Amino acid sequence: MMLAHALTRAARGLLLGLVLATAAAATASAAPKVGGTLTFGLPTDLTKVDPHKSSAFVDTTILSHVVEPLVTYSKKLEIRPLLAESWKFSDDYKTLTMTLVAGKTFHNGREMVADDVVWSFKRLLDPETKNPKRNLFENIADVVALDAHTVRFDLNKSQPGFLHVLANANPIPAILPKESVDANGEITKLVGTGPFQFTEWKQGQYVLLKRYPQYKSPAGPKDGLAGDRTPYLDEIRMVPMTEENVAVMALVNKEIDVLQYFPAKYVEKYKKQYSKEGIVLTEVPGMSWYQVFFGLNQPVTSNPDFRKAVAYSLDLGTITRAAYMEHAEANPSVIPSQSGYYTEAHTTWPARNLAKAKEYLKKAGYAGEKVVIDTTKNYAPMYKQAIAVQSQMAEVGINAEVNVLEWPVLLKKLYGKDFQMLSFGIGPKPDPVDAYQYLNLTGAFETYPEIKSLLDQANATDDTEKRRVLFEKIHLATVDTVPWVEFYNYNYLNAFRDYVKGYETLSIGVPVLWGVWLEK
Amino acid sequence: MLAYLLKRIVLMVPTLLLVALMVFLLVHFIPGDPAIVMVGGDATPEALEQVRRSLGLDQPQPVQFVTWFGHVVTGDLGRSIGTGIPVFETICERFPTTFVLTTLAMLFSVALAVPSGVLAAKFRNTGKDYLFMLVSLLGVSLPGFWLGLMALLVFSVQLGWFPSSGYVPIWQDPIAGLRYMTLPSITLGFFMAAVVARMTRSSMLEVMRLEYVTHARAKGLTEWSVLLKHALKNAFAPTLTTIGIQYGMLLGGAVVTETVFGLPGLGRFVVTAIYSRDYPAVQGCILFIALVYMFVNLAVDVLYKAFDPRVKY
Repeated sequence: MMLAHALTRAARGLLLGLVLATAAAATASAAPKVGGTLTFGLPTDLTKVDPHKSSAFVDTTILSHVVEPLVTYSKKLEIRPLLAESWKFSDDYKTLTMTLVAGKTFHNGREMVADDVVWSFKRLLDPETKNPKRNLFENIADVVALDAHTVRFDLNKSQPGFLHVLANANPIPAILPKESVDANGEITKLVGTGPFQFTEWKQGQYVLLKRYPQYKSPAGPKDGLAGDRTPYLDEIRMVPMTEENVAVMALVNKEIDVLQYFPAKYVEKYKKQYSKEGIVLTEVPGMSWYQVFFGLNQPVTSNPDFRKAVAYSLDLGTITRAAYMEHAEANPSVIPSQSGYYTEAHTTWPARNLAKAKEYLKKAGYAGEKVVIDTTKNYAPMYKQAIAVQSQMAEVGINAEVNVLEWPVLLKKLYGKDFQMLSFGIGPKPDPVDAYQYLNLTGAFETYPEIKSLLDQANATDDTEKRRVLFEKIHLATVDTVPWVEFYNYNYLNAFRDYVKGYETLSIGVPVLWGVWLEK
Repeated sequence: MLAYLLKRIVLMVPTLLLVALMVFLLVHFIPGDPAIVMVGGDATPEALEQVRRSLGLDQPQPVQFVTWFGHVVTGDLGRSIGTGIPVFETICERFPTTFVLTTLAMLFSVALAVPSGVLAAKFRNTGKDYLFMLVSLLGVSLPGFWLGLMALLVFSVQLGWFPSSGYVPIWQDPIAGLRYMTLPSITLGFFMAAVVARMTRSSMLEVMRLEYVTHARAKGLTEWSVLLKHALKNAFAPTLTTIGIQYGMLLGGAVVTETVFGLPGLGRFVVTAIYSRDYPAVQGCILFIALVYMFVNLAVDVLYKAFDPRVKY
């Protein structure tokens, strides 16, 4: 089973490589040109202009061009300097001292100094700021400015992975100037240190960013969100295109230059027609993942033998195709194949075996009780995969019912651990520790404390090899206990006009518009 | 007349109070809460509780209502949980787009529907009548979403006459604004026209059976003069009510048209707010829409007198 899986992966890798090579050839060009306006089609409108209050991914797409954190991710998701040029942990990983880049200015012309870091993190941690993901930063006990360019983070408890917190992409722990807030503590005009300045937001119409001519870029070649971040475009006009068919028409009509999410259903038309009309399509493997959670405290699904029966009844490849056609990679692990922590052990998962599934059902004493799969149509793949799961489970005699809910109601059931099976999807988590925290939503930490213990050990070390082994053990523990079934990571389909050069999207889903120019 | 207007405006106050209470209760009865939508799928229960507290959702509902309504009476509709922007500011920014779209659609529909209704009535049970009614049946039956996409495909992608996306406010650049508004207002107006045409036809047929129409014909007036000067004037009152209801409803947000054409109107905002359980935004917008609806109704009632001399204020 593992060999077959590896071969499928190799074939997919080759195919993807070809697509990417074509894309690279399309985007490669001579010297970058300064100037021009790029119109970028977003799936939705900006929700909040204040990065300290935002939790929406679309905000990261826009604001990551305006504001900057202390450290960031390379293309391979390694931590790289941004506003901090160097750092040092104490031996117990309870103190982090960082040296800031000297001479880095905000868009209002003032130099960014340690006091701004202190102010930004205190604001981020203030409950009055109402950051919905404030819990990510709760281990910070204090932030102290040691001098103008040195800052120290005191942590409540040892956290070797703390740099991942500082590099977080959503929400961005942005360093902002104190003077950017008004008397009510609200940001109406965002001021950052990034390559582009926030110029205007017309709700439902566009967000306008302008090049910051005094931008001081980190050294080194462009590498994900790190390295060379020089802006070449004069302006970026980001427009919400909520209706995907209209978004494609706008790209064809040259009303937009880039479409962030190209609908998979148009790929065939792209091959036949759009590829000859000056449109380039790239497919980037993403880190978001989709799954079905089991409620470990619920009738029927609390029985591990029943969950194993479900695991044996499912074919991950078919479910993946049902949800995303060929634009996703089946993966039974929360760790995506492009992660440095991905090993052969993460391909381990029961292959579909209907006889074994029936055997486990018998062992579980299953007598045809109804099992409910909660899902939503707000995110189509969650619904499609639920239908595929229901259909495959029916083949072994499991009486499953798909219960379609509104997104807020689904979330309420998830948080209340009030579900038997729940079809879900989660955004990119570069650190596997953050990804495995989702096991908590199934009740696995209480039911299987050994999994929690392995996760705590991984969280307490920065030794890559030790962590790799621990993550393998956690994955194998999920194979034994089946608190969830992981299905796939989907690819990002980006389409843009052929005169747009240097454009790329990262595996964490963030498009990069610095280093992009127009060859018109 | 003035006394009538004042009386109607005073009566709006208890109506609005009732609407406020109903909207608050309805919004809070829908399962799911905004804190959960804000934190998404990856927060601890403690963090979720903290967000609920910071939004005041941990307070008993009567307390939440009194707090919200206390602000409303001072003109403060609160801040949207989703955008952090004052709800009133969002209404001011988005409502003009919906207003222009709906008004243009209404003008288009009246220009198309009233003559169609009159002609269908005049040529009752003939091929022309069936043709007009078939077109109006199509207008009622075709989904606005599909019609919008087809209009874009033909007039934007194939013919290149209109843009498929984007928006320029008509008050900033009337020519460009009209280019962006033409397809959406025709799409929306087509549906309105279908309803209005059917109402005009049936009112005309009813009026044309009355004695005063026979009397007008007996005086030797031409058929067109009977139809337009005598019958239509009386038949238009119920049509006016239909136009008023349609207009008032669409001013609350022509959601589908706004979504297909990417217009930054109020309807799209309210739908997004409902999905994300953005209580202040939903409550504030619906209260505003109710107020608009009341004023449209008042305007229709005042206009009634122009068409029906029996109406007294």
